[in-house]
Amino acid sequence: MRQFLKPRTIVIVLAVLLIMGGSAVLLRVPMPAIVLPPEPVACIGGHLAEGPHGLECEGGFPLTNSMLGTLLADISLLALVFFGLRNMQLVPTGLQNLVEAVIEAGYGVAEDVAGKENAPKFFPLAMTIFLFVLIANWWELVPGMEAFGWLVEVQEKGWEKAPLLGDNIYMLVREPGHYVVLPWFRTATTDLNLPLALALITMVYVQYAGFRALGLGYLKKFINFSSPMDFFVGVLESISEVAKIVSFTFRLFGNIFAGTVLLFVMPFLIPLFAPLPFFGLEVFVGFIQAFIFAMLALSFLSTAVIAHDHEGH
Amino acid sequence: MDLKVLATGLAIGLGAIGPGVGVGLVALGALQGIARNPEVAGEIRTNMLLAIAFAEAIAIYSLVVALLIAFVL
Amino acid sequence: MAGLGINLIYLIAHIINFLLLLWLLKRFAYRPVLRMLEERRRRIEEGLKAADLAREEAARQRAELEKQLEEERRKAQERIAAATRQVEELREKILAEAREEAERIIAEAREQAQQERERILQEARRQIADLSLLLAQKVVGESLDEKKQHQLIEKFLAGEL
Repeated sequence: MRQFLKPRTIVIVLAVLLIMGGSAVLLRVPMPAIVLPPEPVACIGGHLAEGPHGLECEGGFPLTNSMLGTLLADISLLALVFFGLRNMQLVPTGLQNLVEAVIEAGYGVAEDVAGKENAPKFFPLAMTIFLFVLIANWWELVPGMEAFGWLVEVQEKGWEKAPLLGDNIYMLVREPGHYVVLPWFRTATTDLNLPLALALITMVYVQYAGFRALGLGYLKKFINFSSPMDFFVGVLESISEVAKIVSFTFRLFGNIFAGTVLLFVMPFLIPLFAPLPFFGLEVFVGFIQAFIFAMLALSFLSTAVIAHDHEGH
Repeated sequence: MDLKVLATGLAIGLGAIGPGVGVGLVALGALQGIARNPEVAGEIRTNMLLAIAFAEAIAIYSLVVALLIAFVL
Repeated sequence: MAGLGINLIYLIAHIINFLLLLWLLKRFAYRPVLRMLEERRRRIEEGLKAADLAREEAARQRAELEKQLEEERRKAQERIAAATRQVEELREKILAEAREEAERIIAEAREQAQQERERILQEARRQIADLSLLLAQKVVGESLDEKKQHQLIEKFLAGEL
């Protein structure tokens, strides 16, 4: 307790509090426009037009901001792997060491959960999910990730724009107006389509692995007429397979979406210092969500390939 | 204030109570296990995370409902 | 669904993206890394085995060398022992010979002395006998003839008188 009463500590704490309070009054950051669906920011083979919900793509293939975020995650992950494994040495150094250590640790976990026999089959999917989701989640933490984009006119709940550089570049200010930013990049996992895609791929692969391991016997898990009790359990199992997709999707989406909103709302309340602890929290949450997604995929896969006998569960 | 906003807040708020208690219980059990025999701490931690994920699934359903109320209805 | 932003085109795009990423990572990251890990494990195992083998070989060679050295030492010892024994034998022989020679010389000398003594004694006896006869002649006044004299002397010498 004594060390917190030193004059220097007190001065630093007061200065930080002063800066926080001052920034809340002087630096007025606009509230983010929270939009659930991904928005097209470019159009391949068509053109962007203003629709009822912001910009829309007329003809051609829409390129959404979450797709650009996905590409960002893809490129950074592939670059990491490429530069890490460009010329592999038997005695690893630097980045190669990191990449190898991560892959080796992941393989160790896969062996622990799925067993030595199944690990080589299930490892690539689980590891890719982990790496991709981790990198995608951590892009959320890059400052400015979702702060740059097109200015779009809206009917309500917008902010006023102010010229920043030249004639065509503006910034939003905290005065009620008619403009919102449509970001070019968006954290990939805050778009429901990505978690849903991952969940669908995982659950389809779970069914495939089950059929591959047990043949048609795998169906006995879902359709079983040997007793009314078993039939009911089979129905429940079928429902839970669908529920798994939903919980997979919304667990990842909900955590990261909430994290992103949190990281944007904190500067709206207090622009300086206050968001800092939440960045630390989001580093942790991003890692945990990637880990849980991969671990659940692994454990669903390894339970699917185990024969479902009448041993009572 | 719109009733929709109230419904959204209630949906996620009430739905998070049960999973909150559940996650706490899971962590309690795991920590007691780790305290009793720390040599299997790694294994317990992994299983704890999985169990927390299952408990959290309940909160996720209320999140889905909240999102549906807020953005779809 | 549209309100939540779920869109079939976006969904398919994400699925394709992920499957592509999965294939790329599987092909260019997991396979080479796992192969490299296996390779490294194998190399380390081999290295350890080779080191064990080398250590065994060295131990074996040292044992052999030590055995050879022991053999050499034993041989040298034997040779020294043999040489010592020979020298000893030679000494014994020389000594014995010398002793024998000395004894022989002494014995010879003793014999000669004995003979000399005998001879001198004999001579002395004869002369004493001659002298005593001469004395007796003179005393008796009569001289015995030469022949009788000699007989007497012989008798005397033989201890018959």
